[in-house]
Amino acid sequence: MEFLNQTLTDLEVYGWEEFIGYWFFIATVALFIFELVAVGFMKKMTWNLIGDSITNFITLVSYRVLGGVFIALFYLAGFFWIYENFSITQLPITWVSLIGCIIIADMAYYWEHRFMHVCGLGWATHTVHHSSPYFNISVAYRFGPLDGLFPFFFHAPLVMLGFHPFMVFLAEALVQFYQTALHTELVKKLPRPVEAVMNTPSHHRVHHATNSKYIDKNYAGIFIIWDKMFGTFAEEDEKVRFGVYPRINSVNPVKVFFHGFVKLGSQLWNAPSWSYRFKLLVKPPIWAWEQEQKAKAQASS
Amino acid sequence: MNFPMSVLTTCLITGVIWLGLVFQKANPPTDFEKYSTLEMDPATLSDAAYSMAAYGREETIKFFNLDNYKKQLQLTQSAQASEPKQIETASKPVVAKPAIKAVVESNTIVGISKSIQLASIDGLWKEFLDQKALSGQLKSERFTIFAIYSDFNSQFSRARVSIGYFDKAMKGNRIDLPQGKQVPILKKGQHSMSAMVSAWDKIDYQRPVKAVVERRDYIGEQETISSFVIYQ
Repeated sequence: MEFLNQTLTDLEVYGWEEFIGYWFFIATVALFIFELVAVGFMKKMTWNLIGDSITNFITLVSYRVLGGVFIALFYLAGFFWIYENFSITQLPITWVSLIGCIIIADMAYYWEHRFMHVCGLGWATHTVHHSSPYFNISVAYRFGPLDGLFPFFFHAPLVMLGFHPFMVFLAEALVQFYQTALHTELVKKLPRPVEAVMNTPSHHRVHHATNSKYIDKNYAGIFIIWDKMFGTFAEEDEKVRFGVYPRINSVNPVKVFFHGFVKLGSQLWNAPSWSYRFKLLVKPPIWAWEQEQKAKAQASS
Repeated sequence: MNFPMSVLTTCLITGVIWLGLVFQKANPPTDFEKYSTLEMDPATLSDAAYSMAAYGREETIKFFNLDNYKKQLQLTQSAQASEPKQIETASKPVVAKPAIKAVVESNTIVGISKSIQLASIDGLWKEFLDQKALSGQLKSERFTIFAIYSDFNSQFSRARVSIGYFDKAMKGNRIDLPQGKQVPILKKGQHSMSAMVSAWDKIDYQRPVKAVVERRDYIGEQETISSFVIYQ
């Protein structure tokens, strides 16, 4: 166990992210092909599923091209600026620190994810990820335009606590990779001790569901215990219907990628007041829906 | 659990983990491990980083011909070969900025200490270097000298200056190295006298200065210098 206390260079920490990221992507592509073969055997393959999957990868490229470079530079500069000027200490770069960083980053991910669901601005971008009516590995790569922006604010405190920026990047990446692997219907339930502590495909299917009892549940990244502790956990005990409500019914990548912001823009444009506009940005999306229902009811009476 | 309690619990868990990490028994970083990506050519950064994880340190250094890294790795290996005891007994884990922070692994140096006008610092260095009783005790060509500037007057023209060898086995006048958060003002490297003097411009004189420390590492004739300031 001595190696846990060994100091790493920042180049090595960065290297592990590059290494794991590269091979993980290859593994997920292989897994996706396996999923497609399995779907084919089950005779569930449709042109819509193929179109939806291609759209998922197009959103990934769009996300990288439109926001990825800018956001990566923003992250890099921002984290190092905070680390040099506002960190309360600078923790040693060791494997032990990395383990601690992953646990805290996983909690940060929980809160960031919860924020994306309960704030109109966050949902405008994150709704893209949820808008697929399918649930396979390619859905994990279905990104919205600003999906990379908000995590900065939830992970910057880790840098302030003294974690080296590259260590925070690696921890964030590991949480993200773990999450990615959960997007599958092929795995049903895992052994009970695993389901009790870890996030699993079953738990994450619940998160992607439109069933009313599953709405805004299971935000976890790696450990499901955060949801259990903070009261946002739901067990998968009825058949899951995937997607968002109302459905977008499109595999057009442009429509899929921008539909959240188009909808939010339209709501802002038609808002009756500035305070309403502000609430559209910060309140949960369900609030806007309720207001629209009230307005319709008033108009018809 | 309601929302405020959830946030509070998150902060508590984070605090406990953080405290554990602050007091972890980390091995003090070697010279190689203190070396930073900041020193690297950005064009090879990504590939070299990947290689570091995939193939290890030595293969990466060889393949990418990272001269600076090579030098640091050799320094580390020769230090480990010639002074295994010193590394094994290094006392405290040091919370350090990678690469640019000089790290003090023990608490004392052996040498001389005087209150002098800083303009006459050369004289004190000469006096120190002339002390054959001290330099005669050096067992290898690789050694470190610290110069500590403390107890400054208000104009920073006068200070207590202590110069000594960083070698536990040496006998002589022991002087405590100042403890506290080290803020680097001069990165480890070969520097001219004017660069060393300019480094003092980086000190924030608005803050009370506890000490300025100059570290000089020698391997034979080769000298590398770094400096840091400790505020009160």
